[in-house]
Amino acid sequence: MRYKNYILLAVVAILLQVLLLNNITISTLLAPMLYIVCIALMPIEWPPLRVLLAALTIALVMDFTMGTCGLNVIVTLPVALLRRPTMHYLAGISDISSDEGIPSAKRMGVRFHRYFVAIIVLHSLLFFSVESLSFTSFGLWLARFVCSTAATLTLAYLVVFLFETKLHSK
Amino acid sequence: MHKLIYFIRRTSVAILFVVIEIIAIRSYAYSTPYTQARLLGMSNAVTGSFYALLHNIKGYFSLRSENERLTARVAELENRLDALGSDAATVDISASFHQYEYIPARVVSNSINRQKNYITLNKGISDGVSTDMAVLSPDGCAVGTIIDCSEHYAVAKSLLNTEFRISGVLAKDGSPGAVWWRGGDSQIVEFDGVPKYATVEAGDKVRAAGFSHYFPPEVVIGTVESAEVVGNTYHCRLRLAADMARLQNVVLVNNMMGGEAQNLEASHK
Repeated sequence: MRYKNYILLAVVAILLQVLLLNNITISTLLAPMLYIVCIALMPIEWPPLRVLLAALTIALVMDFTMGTCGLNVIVTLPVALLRRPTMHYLAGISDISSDEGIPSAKRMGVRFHRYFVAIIVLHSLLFFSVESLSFTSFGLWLARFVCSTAATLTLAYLVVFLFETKLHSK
Repeated sequence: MHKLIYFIRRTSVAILFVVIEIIAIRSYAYSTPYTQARLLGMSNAVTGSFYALLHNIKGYFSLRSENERLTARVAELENRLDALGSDAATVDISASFHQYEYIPARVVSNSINRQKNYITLNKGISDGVSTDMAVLSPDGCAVGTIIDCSEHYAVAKSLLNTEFRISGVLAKDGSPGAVWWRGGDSQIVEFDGVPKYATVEAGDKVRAAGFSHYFPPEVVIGTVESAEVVGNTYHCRLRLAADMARLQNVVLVNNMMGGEAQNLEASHK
C-alpha cells in the first residue's frame, strides 16, 4: 500500500488530538491543533481535489469531536487549498511530478521546515482569528496565538521526528 | 460545450471550496448567539459599504423628486408656523422640553419583497443611533424601528416585516388597535382590534399611539382602505402613508424619555 505511512501518521495525529489534546486544559492560552500535520504531510503528488476532500473529512471529524460547528472546516480548507502554492514558494517544489511522497526534512532539508512552519502558522492564524471574530482584546488574542502555535509546532515536530525515526529504523 | 466542460473541470476545486466554506460559515454563524452577532455585524459593514456605493449612484438620479418632496415639507411646516401666529414668538425655546431627538439618515438598502424585510441605513453608533429608535420617512410617516447598529451603519426592522407590531389609533377619535403586516402587498398593512363601537370609515387616518415609547404619537401610519367588523372588533386594511418602495432618506427618532419610562414599567412587572 503506497500511502500506508501517511495513513498511519494521520491516524496517530487525529487520535492524539481527539483523545488527548481536546480533553486536557493546561491553560486557556494553550490550544494545540496537532491534526494540521495530516494536511501538511499529505503526499506531494496528491491532486487538489483529493487534498480538499481529505482536509474536509479531517475537519469534520474535528468539528464533531470539539463541538465547534464548522470552525475547523472554515480554517482547514483554505490551508489545504494554499498547500500547493506554499510548497511552490517556500519549499521550492515547482514541478509536483519531480518530487513525490510525504514531505520530509530528511529529503527536503531546510525547505521542509519553511513549508511546515508556514502551514502551521497559517492554520493557527486563521483558527484563532475566526474563533474570536474580534481583535478588541488583541493582547489576549496574540498570547493565545503565540502560545498555541508554539505548542502545536513542538508536538508536530515530535510526531514527525518519531515517525521518521520509525521509518528509518525499518 | 467542450469549453464549458473544460471550464467546470478547471474550476471544480474552487467551486467546491466556496460552496463548502459558505455552508461551514453559515453553520458556524448560527452555532452561538456571539458568532451570530459578530458575523451579522461584519456582514452589515461589508454589505452596507457596497449598498452605500450603489445608493449614491442611484440617489443622484432621484435628486429632483427628492427636492420636490422636501420643498413640499418645508412649505407645510411654514404653514403650520404661520398658523401659530404671534404665539410662536412668545414661546421660550430654551425652557421648552424636548422629548424627541431627530437624526437624518440615508437608506443604503431596503427590501420589500420578502416576508421579513429590513432597511440598512448609513448612520450608526458613532452618529448617536441606538436600537429601538423609530424610523420615519422624510414626511414624518412610520417606516420601522432600529434593531441593530454597527459603528457606521444601522439595520431597521421595516413595517413590511411579519414580525413587526405597532400600536395605532384612529386620528379622529383615538380608538386603539394593532398594526401589522400580513405579507404580500407592500402598500397594505392590517389594523385590527379596534372596538366595534368606534366608527371606522374608508379614508380615516391612523397614527401611532405612542404606547410603545418608540414613535411620537402624531406620526401617521396610513389611511383606512376598507373595514369590516369581525366579532367584537373592526378589522381594517390600511394603505401605508410612507412610500416604502422608494425610500431614499429617513429620519431617526430617539425618545429620550423612553428608557426611563420602560425601566419604570419593568420595575412594576
